[in-house]
Amino acid sequence: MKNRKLSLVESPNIEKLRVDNKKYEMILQSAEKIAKDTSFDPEVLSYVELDEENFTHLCLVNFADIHFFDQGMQKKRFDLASDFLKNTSNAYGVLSGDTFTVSTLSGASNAHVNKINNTNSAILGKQCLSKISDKILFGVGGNHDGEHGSRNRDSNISLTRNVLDSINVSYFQYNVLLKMNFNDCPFYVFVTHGCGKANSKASALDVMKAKCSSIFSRFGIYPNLVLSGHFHADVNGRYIVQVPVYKNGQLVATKNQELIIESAPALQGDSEFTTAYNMDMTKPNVNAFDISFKKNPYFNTKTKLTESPIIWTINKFPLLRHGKDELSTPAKIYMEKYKEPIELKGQIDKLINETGLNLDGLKQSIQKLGEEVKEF
Amino acid sequence: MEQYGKKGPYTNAVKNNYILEKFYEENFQKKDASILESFKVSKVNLATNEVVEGLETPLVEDYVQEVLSRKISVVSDNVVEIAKNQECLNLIFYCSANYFDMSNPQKGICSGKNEEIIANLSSVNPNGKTVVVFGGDLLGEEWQIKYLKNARIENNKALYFGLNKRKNRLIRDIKKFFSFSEKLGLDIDIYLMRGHQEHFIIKELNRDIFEEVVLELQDKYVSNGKTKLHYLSSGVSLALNVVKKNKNKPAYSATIGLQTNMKNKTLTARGEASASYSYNGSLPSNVCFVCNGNFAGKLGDRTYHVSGQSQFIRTPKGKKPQLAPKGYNVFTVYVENDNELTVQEGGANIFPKGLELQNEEYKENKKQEILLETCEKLIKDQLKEIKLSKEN
Repeated sequence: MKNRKLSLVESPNIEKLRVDNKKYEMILQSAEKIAKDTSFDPEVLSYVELDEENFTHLCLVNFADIHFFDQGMQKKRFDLASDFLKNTSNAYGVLSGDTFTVSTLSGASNAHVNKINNTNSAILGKQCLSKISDKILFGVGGNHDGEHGSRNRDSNISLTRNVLDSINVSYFQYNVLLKMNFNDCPFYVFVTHGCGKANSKASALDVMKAKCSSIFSRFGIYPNLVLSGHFHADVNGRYIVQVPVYKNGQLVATKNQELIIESAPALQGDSEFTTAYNMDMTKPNVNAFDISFKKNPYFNTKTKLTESPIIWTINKFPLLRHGKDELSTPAKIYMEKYKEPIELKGQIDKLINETGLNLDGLKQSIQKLGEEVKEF
Repeated sequence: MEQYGKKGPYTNAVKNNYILEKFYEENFQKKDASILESFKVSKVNLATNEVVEGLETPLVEDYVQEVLSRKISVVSDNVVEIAKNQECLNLIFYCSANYFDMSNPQKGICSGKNEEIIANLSSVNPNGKTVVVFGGDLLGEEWQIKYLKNARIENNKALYFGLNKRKNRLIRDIKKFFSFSEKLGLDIDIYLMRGHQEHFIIKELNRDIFEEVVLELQDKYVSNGKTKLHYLSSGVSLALNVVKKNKNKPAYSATIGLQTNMKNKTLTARGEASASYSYNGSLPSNVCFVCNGNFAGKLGDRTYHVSGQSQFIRTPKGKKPQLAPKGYNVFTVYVENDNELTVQEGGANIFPKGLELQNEEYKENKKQEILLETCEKLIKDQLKEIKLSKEN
C-alpha cells in the first residue's frame, strides 16, 4: 500500500465509506485499449510486399493443408514439392493454412489417428520447413492450426505460429494481401485459408467467392489472384471484376480485371473425416503459378480509363504426377529452366579454402583499435 | 420480286413471301454445280406450296435410314497421335463465338486484328502437337426467321446475318488458324465439334454447316496424305483417344473428353457443374474439357470448363449481362503414362526470350550473397579467436 497512490471516493451505497477505485479505473482503461484494437479480429488483413528485380516471371507455389503427420499426410509428396521450391530460383511458397493439425483427445480432431503426436509433428515439421525457410514468404493460420475454428478450441495454441516463429518465417492469423512488384507493375495475391462447408468441389468455389467478395469490399482491395485451401478440392474459377477508377477523388470509370480464385488440393489424402462423410478424395498435390505480364492489345488512348495497360498471364501447373510420387513433366521442365545454382556455395567455399582468405589486415586493425581504446 | 415493287400494297402476306425469299437466300446454298448440294429447303414449313403439294409418302426404309443416320457415340473414331519428337499435346479451344449475333458479340471482332488467334497460337509449345478444337456454339442464334422479321433497317440495309455469312466467317477463322500456324512454324490439326447452336440448326433447317465446311476445305489442308481438318460428328460428348509415341519404350494411351452441349444460364460454379452433368453426362475419360459453359475454371479433379469467345455469359431474363472470362482456353497436356495426364492450364511457351541472361544475372547476384555470407562467418570466427586469445 505504501507505493501505490490511492484514489478514494465516496461509496455509492454507504455515506461514511470511501473506496479506492484506482485499480478499477486501470482495469477499464486497459480493457478499452484491447477492445479498440482490431489485431485479434477474425478477418484482420495483413500486408506483405515482395520486390522482384532478377526475373520477369515469378513462380508462386501454394502449399495448402499439409497437415503434417496427421492421418493421410503424404510426406514423400511434400518432399518432392519442397525440392522443387528449393531448386527453382524464381519460386516462392506460401503456406495457406492447416500446415499442422492441432488435435486433442476431447476435440473435434481425433489425436488417436495422427501418425505421430503433436509434439513430434512440430519437431519434424520444423525440420521439413526449415530446409525451405528462405523460400517461404509467409504462412497463415487455418481452422486446424490457427487462432480460430472449432478444431482448435481445446488447445488454444497455434502450432504453425510457434514453428514458423522458430524458423524466422512470418505468420499471420487470417488474411494476407501480398503485393508482388515486377519492375514497378504490382500484382496482388490474397492468401487466406478459407472456411465454411461445401457440398461439392465446385460449390467450394462459390463459398470462397462469397467470402472474398465480403472481405474485398470491406478492405477496398482488388487482388488478381486468391490462394486458399480448406476444402481439399483442387478447383479454380475465373471471374471478371469491376475495379473503380478515381480521378481527383471522383469515380470516373471502372476497369475490367480478371480474378482467379484457387481452392488448392491438400497434401493430406484419405482421413477418418473424409471416409466418414464419403467425400470424393482429391489426389494430394501442390499447384504452382507462373506469373508474368504482357501488353494489353486493347489498351489505347481511347480505352485508357476502362482497360489496363498490361494483362497478367497466369499459368498453372501441378507439381506432382497424378499416378506416381514424382515431379510432373511441366514441373521438371520449369525447374530445369530456372535451375537454382546450388553448387555455387560449395564452389565458393572450396575456392576460399584453397586460396585462403587473408584477414591479417583486419586482425591488425582490431588489435590496434583495442590498444587505442585501452589508452582512452 | 417484280410484284413487290414500289407501288405496294405492302400487306403482311406480301411481305412474308419477300421475307421468306430473303431467308432462303441468306440461309441456304444456291444452285451451283461446283458445290455438292443444290439449293434446298428441306422443312415443310419453309417449302413453297408447290413442293408441299407434290410430296410423296415415306416408306419404312426411309424411317430406318433416318434413325440409323442419327448415330450417337461415346468414343470418337479419331485418334490424336503425338509423335516421338513431340513433347506434349497443345489444346486450343475456340468456341462460343456466336458469329454475327448482336446481343452477344464475339470479343475482338470489331478490331479485325485476330488478336485471339495469334495470342493462342503464340503461347503453345512449338515442339508439341497442336490441336485446335472448334468446340461449337460458333454459328450463333440470330439467323432465325424471327430476327429477319424484326431486323432494324440502317442505311437501306436490314441488319440480319444469315447462315451463309456465318459459315463464311467460320471458314475465314479456320483459314486464319492455318495461315498463322504456318507462319509460326506450328503443325496444327483442327477439329470441329458441334454444340447446342449447331445442333439446333440441323434440327430446324436440316443443314450441317460443319460437315459442309469440312468437305469444302479438307483437301486444301493435307499433310503426309492425311487431312488436318476433322469433324467429330458423332455427338456432343465424346472421348478422344490420345496416343503418345515414345523413344525406346512402348506408346502411352489416354483419353480426353470433349463436351459441348451447354445452354445453362447459371451464375455459380455449383450450378455450372450440375448443368454440365445434366446436359452432357459423364465420360470415361482421364480428363474432360467442357465448352460453351457459363463459367470458366477447373470444377472437378479432372474437369476443365474452358472460356469462350463471346463478350458476355448467358444471362437469365431480366438480369444484367455479365462479362465472360477470357484466356482459359489454352492447355498443355503431357501424357505421363497410360491413362495418366498432367494438364498445365495455359500454354507452355512461358519462358521469356532473355531467360538465359536473367539466370546469369541471378547467378552473379547469388555469388555476391554467398561470398558475403561466407566472409561474415569467417570474420566472426576470427573475432572469436581474437577474443579467446586475449582472455588467455
